[in-house]
This record gives sequence, structure tokens and C-alpha cells, in this order.
Amino acid sequence: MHTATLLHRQVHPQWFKGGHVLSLAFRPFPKDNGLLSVYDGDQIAPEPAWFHYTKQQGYQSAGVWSVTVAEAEACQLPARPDPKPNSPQHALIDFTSHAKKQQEAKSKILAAKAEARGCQFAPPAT
Amino acid sequence: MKTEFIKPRFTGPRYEEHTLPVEVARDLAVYEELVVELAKQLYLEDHAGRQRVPRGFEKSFSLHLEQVEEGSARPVLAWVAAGALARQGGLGYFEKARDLVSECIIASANQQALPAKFPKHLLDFFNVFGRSLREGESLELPIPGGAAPAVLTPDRRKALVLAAQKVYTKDVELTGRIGEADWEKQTFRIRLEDGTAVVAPLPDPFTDLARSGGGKERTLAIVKGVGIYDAWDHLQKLAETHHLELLPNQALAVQIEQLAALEDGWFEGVGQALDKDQLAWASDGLVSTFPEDLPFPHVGPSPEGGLFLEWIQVPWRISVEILLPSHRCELQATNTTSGESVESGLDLDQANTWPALYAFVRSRV
Repeated sequence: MHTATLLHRQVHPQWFKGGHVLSLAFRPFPKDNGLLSVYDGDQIAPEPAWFHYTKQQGYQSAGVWSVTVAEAEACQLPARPDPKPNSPQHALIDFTSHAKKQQEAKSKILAAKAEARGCQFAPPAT
Repeated sequence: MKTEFIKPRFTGPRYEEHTLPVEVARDLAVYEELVVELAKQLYLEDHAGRQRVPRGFEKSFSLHLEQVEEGSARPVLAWVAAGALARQGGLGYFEKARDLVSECIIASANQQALPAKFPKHLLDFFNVFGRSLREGESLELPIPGGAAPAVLTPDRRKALVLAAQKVYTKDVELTGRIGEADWEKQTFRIRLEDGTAVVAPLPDPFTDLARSGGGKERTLAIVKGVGIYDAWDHLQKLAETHHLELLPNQALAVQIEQLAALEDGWFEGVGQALDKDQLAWASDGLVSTFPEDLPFPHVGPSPEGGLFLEWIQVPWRISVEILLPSHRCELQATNTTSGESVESGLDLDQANTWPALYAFVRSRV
């Protein structure tokens, strides 16, 4: 993983509204303990990441939006690989050194960066 | 170049000798004019950018009486064509026009709505086409493929001519926006989603409602009453207004209300469903107070069962998170370029807090 590595985030359909990605999509929630789950772009491309998340894990995703490691680090959010047995491409963006309000503000910046980059993979319309 | 175009059949005592009275020639000449005018309309419909048909379009079509066959009398009308368009088969529009005239007669005979493609003003041609028919006589236009022919009788001709003016009424429910009201005529205009506008009577009990909803883009009006329709089933206007209801900020209400369908586990198995009563409370509060000059937010659920609103006005992102059931509201505006962030909190159970919420958002939108 290096500074240009893309970190792919799955965006729930409820957080993709009017062509925009809501900042909630990049916010860690209590269950995450300040660690935002992403896919390591060096290990997996956006499309297979979407298939893994939706077909293997059974979750919902309107598509994949991404930030780079450098963009996360510019927000004082370090990123690191975090392979799991069922998801060896799993990685984390670490929000733990920031208070809740700061985490929320940083999630807005990440969402804006990801939206500016554009959707990396959108499932075909059904 | 000559091709058979149509072989109409005249029936009745006058045609038993397999001859055509001379006055019928006038009907056939008008039929030719009708086909040409209709073909022009069909061509222009298919070529929206054009003002007129190609040069030579009309001249490429000319009907000739080739012969009169038996049974009772069947004049054979041949298309004698010349020019470039003729070589292209008249682009097919004359044949389409021929078939549409027949469809129009069949629809009238079956008391159905006339074909949408048949223009109202061309019904005037039936003032002449078929006028020579007497009681007990008919003119049959064959249909390609061997289906039952279109049969024009004096009564059906009269019905077609009157169809241009004919209307009928039926109950109607419309959804749109109130464009304007005419207080003197006691009417108002409702603009429908498809862009068309319909005028409806404005009875006294609905005057105040029309006044408050008039001209407001975000206020949806539901109107129930009696509609007047033409022969094409097009709504002309309302004859009576029985019910008028206004739904302010309806697009926002719809965004919020659809969140009520979420069930526990909606996000990665752990997202909490939003409490329906609490959601309705938040929706009522927002919808009834939302300012006309503020853009609608993007609306989503938070995984903890709260209502999340976000305005995106680059470089700013402004969020309003309404925690349910506490009614606590957390506001945050972040400049996504500089990182500057401003926060505030409100208790929405306190008086006058909705305006404070909008003021926070408006300062960055």
C-alpha cells in the first residue's frame, strides 16, 4: 500500500442520493470503533470489490467510490491493510485519534474527495 | 410509375350497376387531399426539427381512377407518382396516411377514442369526403392484411365531423401545481407533471387554499372533480371542482417518508430502523416549516435510527442530524477544501428552533 493506492468504499443505496454520496458513507459508526472498512485498491479492483461485498457478504451497495491513501493521510487519517480470513483485501482508515465531531467533519472531506474522483464502479441497472 | 393504392367499395342501390355516380368523384378528390395532408402531418411529426415537408412531397402523390370493378362498385385508385420521392416509395407516409384514415373511421364506428396521430383539424375533410353517400349506402375502405374494412356511412361521417367538437365528462383526480387564479372568473390553472395546464372552477370554499398554494413550485395540489374530455380522450378543462388539497414541500416529504420502510439490520446487518412515529414527527416539523428559498437537502438514515440531512454546496457540506427519539439536533458545516468546521446543537422540542436550524444552513448555502 502506498500514497497513490485507492481505498475503495462501498456506498449504501440510502447514502447515494440525487447523484451525491452522503458523508455518512465515509463515517465510522460505533460498531466500527473508529476504523472505517475499505478495500485495498492494490489488492482488488472496484468491480470485484463490489461483487465481494454484495454477493459474498450479502450487503447492499449502490457502487464504489474511492479515496487515495494520501488523501486520507492529509486528513490525519492513516490507512493500513487489515486482511481478514474471508476478505484478504480488507483495509482500514483509522479515525481513532479524533473526537466524534472531528470524525464527522473528516468524513465530509473524504466524501467530497471521493465524489470528485467519480464513481469507480456502479452495478448495471436492473 | 403506377401502383394500386386503394380499392374502395361503394354499396347501395345506386351502385348495383357497377358504375359510379359522377358526384362521387368529388368525394374521391377530397380523399386524395386528406391523404396528402395527413401524410404531411405524419412526416413532420417524425421530423421534429423541420418546418415543412421536402420539396416535391405533395406533387409526388396523385390518385387516378383506373377502372371501376364489380361488387357493388369498386373504383380502383392508382397512385401515379413521379420524381425522387416516388422512387423512394413516397417515404411510406402516404400509405400510413391511408391506413390512418381507415383506423379513424373504425374508431368512430366502435365509439372509441380517435387515433392520437389523427389531427383534429383534418376531421373537417369528412364534411366533404362521404357527403355523396345517401341513407342505406356505405363506403368501405379495405384494411391491409384482410381485416374487416372501415365502413363509412352517412351517420358515421356525421359523427366524425362532430367529433371535432364532441366532448364528454368523467370523474378526474389531478396532481400538479397551482399556476394562477382568475378571481373574476373564479377559476384557477393547475399545471400537471407533464407540463400541460388545465383550468378548473374555483368554488368559494377553496379560494384561500388556492391563494396560499398559487405559484409555489414546491407545493403539490391534488384536485378532484369532473373533467371534460375530447374525442381523443384529452382533458380539456374541469367542469366542476369537488376537492382541493395542498401538499407543501412534497418532494422533501417523499424523501423522508420512504425511510419508514427500512427495517432493523438495513446497514451491514446492524442499521436500526427509524421509529415511524418519530419519523413522522420530524417530517411534519420540516415539511411545515421548510423555507421557500432554501434548497432541499439530500436525505438519508443514520445507522443509529436518526434522520440525516445534508446540503452539498462545494466546498461546503452542511449536515443536520436529528436524533430520534431525543429530538436533539446536531449541526455541522465543513469546508471540504480548507477543513474549517463549525458545529452547533439544537433541541427541537424548544420553541422557535426550526428557524434556527435553517439559519445555520442558509449561512453556508
